[in-house]
Amino acid sequence: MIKNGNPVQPMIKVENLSKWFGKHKVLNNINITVVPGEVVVIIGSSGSGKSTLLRCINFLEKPQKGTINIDGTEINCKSKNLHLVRRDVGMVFQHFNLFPHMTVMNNVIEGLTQVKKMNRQEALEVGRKMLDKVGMQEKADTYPSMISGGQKQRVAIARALAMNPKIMLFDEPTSALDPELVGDVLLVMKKLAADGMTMIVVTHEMGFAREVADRIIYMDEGRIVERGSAEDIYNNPQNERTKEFLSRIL
Amino acid sequence: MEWDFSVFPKYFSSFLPYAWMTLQVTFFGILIGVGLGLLFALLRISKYKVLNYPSKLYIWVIRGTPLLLQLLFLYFGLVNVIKLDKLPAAFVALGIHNGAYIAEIFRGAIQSVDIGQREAGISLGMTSFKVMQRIILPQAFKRSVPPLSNQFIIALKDSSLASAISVPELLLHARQLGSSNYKLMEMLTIAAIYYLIMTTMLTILANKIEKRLKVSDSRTGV
Ligand SMILES: Nc1ncnc2c1ncn2[C@@H]1O[C@H](COP(=O)(O)OP(=O)(O)O)[C@@H](O)[C@H]1O
Ligand SMILES: [Mg+2]
Repeated sequence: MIKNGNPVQPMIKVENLSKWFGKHKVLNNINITVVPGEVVVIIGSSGSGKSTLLRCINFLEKPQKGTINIDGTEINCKSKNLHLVRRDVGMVFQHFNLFPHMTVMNNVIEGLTQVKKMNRQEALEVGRKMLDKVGMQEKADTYPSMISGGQKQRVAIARALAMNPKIMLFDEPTSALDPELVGDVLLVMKKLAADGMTMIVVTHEMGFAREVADRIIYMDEGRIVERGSAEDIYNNPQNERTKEFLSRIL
Repeated sequence: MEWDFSVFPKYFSSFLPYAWMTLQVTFFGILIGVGLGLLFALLRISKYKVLNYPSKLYIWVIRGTPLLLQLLFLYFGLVNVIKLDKLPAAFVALGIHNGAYIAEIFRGAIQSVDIGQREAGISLGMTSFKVMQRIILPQAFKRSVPPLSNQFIIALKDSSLASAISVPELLLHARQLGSSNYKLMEMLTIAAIYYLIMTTMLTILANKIEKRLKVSDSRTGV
């Protein structure tokens, strides 16, 4: 893999990944390489396996076949101590999954105090920085149910960022939001991309994809059927399924 | 049958120490029950099948047999294995009995917490243990309060069965007094009043707690 003329160790390398739920083959021989700082957007119709792919990358699901390599550490379905690997992979969910019994600030520092064993003072400092980054510092002491969906998602991003991950995974981060709240979340994600975060984002927000995606991957029935730049995929799709899918969402 | 109201003032206060005993039996029964309940709820939902079976067996046996039998079994039936005094026997029997019901209450509450909560914790790098301790249980305990308070009231009334192994609690006192002064109905009535006072106070307390949780629940939409 060459970026800026230099060989780069891939941040994520997914090789021959297959995943079954029972007899249902949900991921079919997936191969992806993502270099540091790259933003990859995954598109595809519902049920095509996008979420499952992201969930395999931080081992919320265990694939039956293939390997995943995170910044040089190989993981497979027999790996132990997955929780150590997961610290380096931030995940943002469609439905936020904030902890309702904790304030916004405590949500953000939970991983720092409980996983990284940071003392509370230090953690609060990091927490303030993270909330600042997503424009939520004023809501530090409120509970999640008192803020809007867009604000929740920004807090969820801050919570993941606080762990200082090498990679951020986003699973349809804006699709549960009212349209007027989508922009703020995308803005945070764009800043993150500009700061050089390695990101895999499942989203159908085309504006976002055009602006920040280095590559777009189109998935269909558990396979990657097409990949290319935003220009290639949106303006000049090669595969019939891709064309059909795009005509539906555009 | 004639009612003799004049005996009420005379005997009423003599029930107090026995009411206190009723409260103690209830308290320890609940305490042990909550401990066992939590333990067996966690075993029951463990992903390790071998741990599920003891829990299933425990819940099946205890919920499928009468408390009175369990009490007699523990006190008289196990004399050769372990000789318990009547008071510890009552605490333990009530604890084991309540534990089976409380295990099911906790299990339901734990399983009602959205799976996304666990996943969010896991993806922060938490171990399953940490997720349970920090994320799932605090939410599950809150949801357990209404069924738990119901179970506590049942436990309070069930403590009267300890009279069968002559624990000096309310019902035993009422019956003993009644057979010596021939005012059994009056003595039972006094015991009933004590029970009602205690169950009512427990209900009021539970409602207060529930109301407070509901206020904080309005913050719980996630
Ligand atoms: N836990 C599960 N058990 C069984 N089937 C599942 C599970 N999760 C997802 N699936 C199935 O896997 C397929 C891919 O799902 P998913 O990865 O969520 O797709 P997408 O995110 O692209 O909509 C779907 O057919 C879905 O029904
Ligand atoms: Mg999905």
